[in-house]
Amino acid sequence: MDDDDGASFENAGKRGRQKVNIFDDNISLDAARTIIKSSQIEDEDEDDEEITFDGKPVVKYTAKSSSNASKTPMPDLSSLAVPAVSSTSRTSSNPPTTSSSMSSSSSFGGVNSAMTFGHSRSQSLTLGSSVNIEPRVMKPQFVPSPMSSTTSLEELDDFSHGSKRKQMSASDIDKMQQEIQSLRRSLLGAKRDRWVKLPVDDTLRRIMKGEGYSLELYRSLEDKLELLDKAVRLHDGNAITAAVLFLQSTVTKTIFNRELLCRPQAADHYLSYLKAHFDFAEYINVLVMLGRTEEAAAFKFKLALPTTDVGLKISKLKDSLRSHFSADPHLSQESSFVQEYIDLLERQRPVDESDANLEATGRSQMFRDIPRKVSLIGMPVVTTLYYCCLYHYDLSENSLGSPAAIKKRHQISDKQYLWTAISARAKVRHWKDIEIMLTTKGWFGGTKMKSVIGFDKIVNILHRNSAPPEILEKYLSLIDDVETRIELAKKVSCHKAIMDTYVATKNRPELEAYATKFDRYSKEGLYAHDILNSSTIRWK
Amino acid sequence: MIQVEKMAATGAAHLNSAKLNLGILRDFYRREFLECIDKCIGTKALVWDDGLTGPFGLIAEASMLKEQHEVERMFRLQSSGLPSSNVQNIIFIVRPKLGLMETIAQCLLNEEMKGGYVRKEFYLVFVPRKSLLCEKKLKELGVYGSFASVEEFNLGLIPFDSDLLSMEMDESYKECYLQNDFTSMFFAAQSLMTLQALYGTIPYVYGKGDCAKQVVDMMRRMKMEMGGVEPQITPQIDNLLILDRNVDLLTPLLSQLTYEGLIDEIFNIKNTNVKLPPEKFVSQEEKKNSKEPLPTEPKKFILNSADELYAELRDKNFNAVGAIVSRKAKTITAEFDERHAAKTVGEMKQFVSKLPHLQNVRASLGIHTSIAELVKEVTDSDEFLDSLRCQQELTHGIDTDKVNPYIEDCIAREEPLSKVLRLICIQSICNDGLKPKVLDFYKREIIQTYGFEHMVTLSNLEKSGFLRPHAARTYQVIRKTMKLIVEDVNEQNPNDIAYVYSGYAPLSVRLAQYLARPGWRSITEVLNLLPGPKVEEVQQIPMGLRKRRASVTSSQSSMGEQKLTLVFFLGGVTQAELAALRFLAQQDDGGTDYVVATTNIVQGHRLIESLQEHIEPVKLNPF
Repeated sequence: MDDDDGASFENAGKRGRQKVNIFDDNISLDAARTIIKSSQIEDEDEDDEEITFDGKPVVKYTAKSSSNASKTPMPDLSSLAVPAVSSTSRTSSNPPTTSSSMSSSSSFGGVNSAMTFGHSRSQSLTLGSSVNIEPRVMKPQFVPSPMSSTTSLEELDDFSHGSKRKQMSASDIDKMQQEIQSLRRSLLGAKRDRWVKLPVDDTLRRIMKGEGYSLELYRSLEDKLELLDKAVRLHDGNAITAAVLFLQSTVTKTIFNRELLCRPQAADHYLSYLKAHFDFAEYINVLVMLGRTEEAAAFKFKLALPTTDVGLKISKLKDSLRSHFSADPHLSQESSFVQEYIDLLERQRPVDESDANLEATGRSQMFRDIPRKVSLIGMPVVTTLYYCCLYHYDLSENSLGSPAAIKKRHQISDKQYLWTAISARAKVRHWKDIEIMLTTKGWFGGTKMKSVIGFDKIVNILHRNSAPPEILEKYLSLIDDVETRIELAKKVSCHKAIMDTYVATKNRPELEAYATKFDRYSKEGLYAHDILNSSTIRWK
Repeated sequence: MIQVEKMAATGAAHLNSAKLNLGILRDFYRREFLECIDKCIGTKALVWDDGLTGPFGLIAEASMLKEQHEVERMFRLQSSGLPSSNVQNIIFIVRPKLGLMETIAQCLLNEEMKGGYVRKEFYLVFVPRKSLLCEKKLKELGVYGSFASVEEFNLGLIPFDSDLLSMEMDESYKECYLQNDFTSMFFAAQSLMTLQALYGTIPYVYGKGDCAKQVVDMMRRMKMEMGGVEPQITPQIDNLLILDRNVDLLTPLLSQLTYEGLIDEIFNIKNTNVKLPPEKFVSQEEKKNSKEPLPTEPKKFILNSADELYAELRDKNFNAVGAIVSRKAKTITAEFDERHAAKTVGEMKQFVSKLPHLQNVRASLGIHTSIAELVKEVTDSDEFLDSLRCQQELTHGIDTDKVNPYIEDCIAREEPLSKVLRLICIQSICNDGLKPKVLDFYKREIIQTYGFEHMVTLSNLEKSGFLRPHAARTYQVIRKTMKLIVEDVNEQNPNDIAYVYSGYAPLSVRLAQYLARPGWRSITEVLNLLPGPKVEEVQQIPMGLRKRRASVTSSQSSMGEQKLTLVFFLGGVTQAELAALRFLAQQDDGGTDYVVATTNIVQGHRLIESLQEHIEPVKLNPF
């Protein structure tokens, strides 16, 4: 709840009049004077008007029928505010509240007291109305004034219940007169303050409360730094930003940089200001100046990411690599990644181009069978590998699209390679390729099936690519662990493999039970029957 | 105190509980807000920043605004401009985010182009606070002068439930630990001051972590600025415990296993609302009767303790939920059957009077049976069970120094990145940082599979403490001293907080538990191992306001009167941690009751997501 704004809300009640903030930088002294004068008068006679113009029917009613009643609570509330308001001089010695949540009427500051008036009036409005009676009671507890003692609370309570409404007495009118006087005084004070160098604490408080302020009177470097340091100590973002921007615009770059270096928190705020204003060049410069090269590099990298044009993206990445990543020895891992990224994009570009052309001609059987869904550019390494295994599996290692070349350049682990290549070859149903991939030469010229990722996973991949049962059987039989084998065989419903496993474990009862599931003369039924009738197997 | 009790929370009866009436706080915000919009006279349209509609829905109802405060229209703030309307005032209600300022400027310029018969007034309300940069931006865009006024509305802790307050600042952890922006801590301190103004100064303040220290510092300063004016209320809250999320990063990464936690993990609870697929919630009859196609819009449910059944279910381990639901179903059927037994008019009357309640219970039973079924679909899946097994291995410290085969498989299967990162972060924390070789391996795999863009994600995780290079061994010590791993925990009738993660007790809640009994002095060693400073402070309470108690100095008085501790989580709290605190509050020997305040409600997925480099969602392997 800010005083200034309350004021403009009031003014807004008068249609078509421009919003005025006398503390705004762009209002001249004369203008401010006239505004203050006119608003004072208007404030006075606006009082009744506002009530009648108020949208609330209830309030309107109260105001008309018993204007006394609607006004009576006001002196009381204003009396709460008076001690604070009338003590413009006291504010400097007595640091008032800044936590605006605490004081719904942050009148405590007392400088812009025109507003305090406005606020307490708006309170009285609601007080008089019978709509929001109960909540109102809490209010005084938020006025951090010594006056908000229990007695005034009780009084308020009485009002809100409308049980005994007091008549406006002479002393009340007196009080109001006094208040008007004090408001005038403080307005004059406010006007004067505009040209007086306020103590740093006061200015900061104004910033924090969102009031008008001016920093231009702090001319010496000490003043400026004091402002900044105190703002930092208050942990208030708005104040720090204001102070740091003021410093930036009024001192030379060398001094600014020097002071920023020893104030990390101020630097953070300055940086976020730069970032928010898209001043990325300066943002990166400041980061480098502060020795935060890693952040600078990461930011430069981030800037390159959204670029859609590949050529431009590559050159941006190269730029970031040259100017930031390779310059910092701590970023060696990152720079190798960035280099890889560049290489990947440079590989993708020609491959994508030629494939797109080939596809457009419609002459390639491959692209007719499995059309490319999107452009390859910008895909991760593994996806690129998959793509190349799909369309360019047989290319030799010295061509760009070769899977082997990708594996080599990007140091893809054997597992990852196997996983991807098998998925891709299964998709195009080249089972032979998979077999070759998994076959290793044995000791004496013989061959052996071996896999780095476990045959259960291979069966899963094949199943997902809807491989035929013969193929599944073949790889299921290579799973060493019997239980895993049966479980997986059941999952992919490969009956022959299940029955074979029962035979291998010589488990006749299970096999018999399993055989009952099938029709006697179906393929599986016949197979089961043959086994069960075979005399060569020695059951347990 | 007297005034406090007189007040009734309007339209939010579930906020009034015996321990602390949070309805007061809600009413306070609601009043302030109405006052704020009532300042402009005449018909109004509110233009909402999307991120604020949820939180404001909790303090004011749209119908009330319409009927009593001349709010004729409500719009969403978007750059396409405002729909035409005949209102006199247009009030923009926004967070202080620079991006939004441009949208506002766009809207204003559009309006001016349109012109019209009625002259409109524009107002701007910042929530929770004005920002210098935003105002500057508006000035630069040349629209600042068009506003009749620029205000701020200080929405701090929003009451979610009778024991839960949230600031709904979803990015506070990221802001503090990644961007070094501590604004949210300022708001936290401010809202604590508001709480103290309403419920009295809190005598004992404890805290752990850098942010906690900062909040306590700011509170001290704010108190000083009030010039010694204290709220004249007997303290209703005895202790304040401020915990920095940074102190316990492991807990939010683990899969929560309470009912509410699982709903949050799977469907994302937002501002106590959850949106669920509608198919489950159409009854058989409706299916038959309706000729229209089934609804496809997600169905929205409000989850809070106003729903009696939910209040009972929310904190239970999911394995215990089924039994309760079926038991409830039996009782409710039995109660409905009573009508057959009712013979006399009196008995009939009694039954009829119970009927509305019974029908409510039956409806909520139906809803929760369906929700539980939806949750069960997920918890029975292989992905969920395997991931849970992996998490439990890691928290037990099994093979944490090697590349985990399950994580490797997840990457190969291209499972969602946030799931993979979650597991890697768990491993990093349980191993006190990963060995360089292991870390490099994961990094390479992630970058290759999910894209080079995630270099930024990984560096964010490193910066914010989730991924660490190998450091001194502390996890094992903390795990043993704080008894974080509890074997054979009883999920049906729990005897330890570890039930919320089926065997893992959240460190954050253990800290709260030890603070209450036997006190932090017994775990000094652990506190020193955890990051950030420890805070212990006493706020003097004037004699007249002190609670009448045998000895005010001892923080563990053995008086029969239950004490109340406010636990404030900076950087977020999970539903499971809440459940654990509620469990502690119910224990007779716990020593204190709990109310929880938090910057936001987190779960692992959202936490990791917020640190992730945002990339347009592309299907990883479209070919």
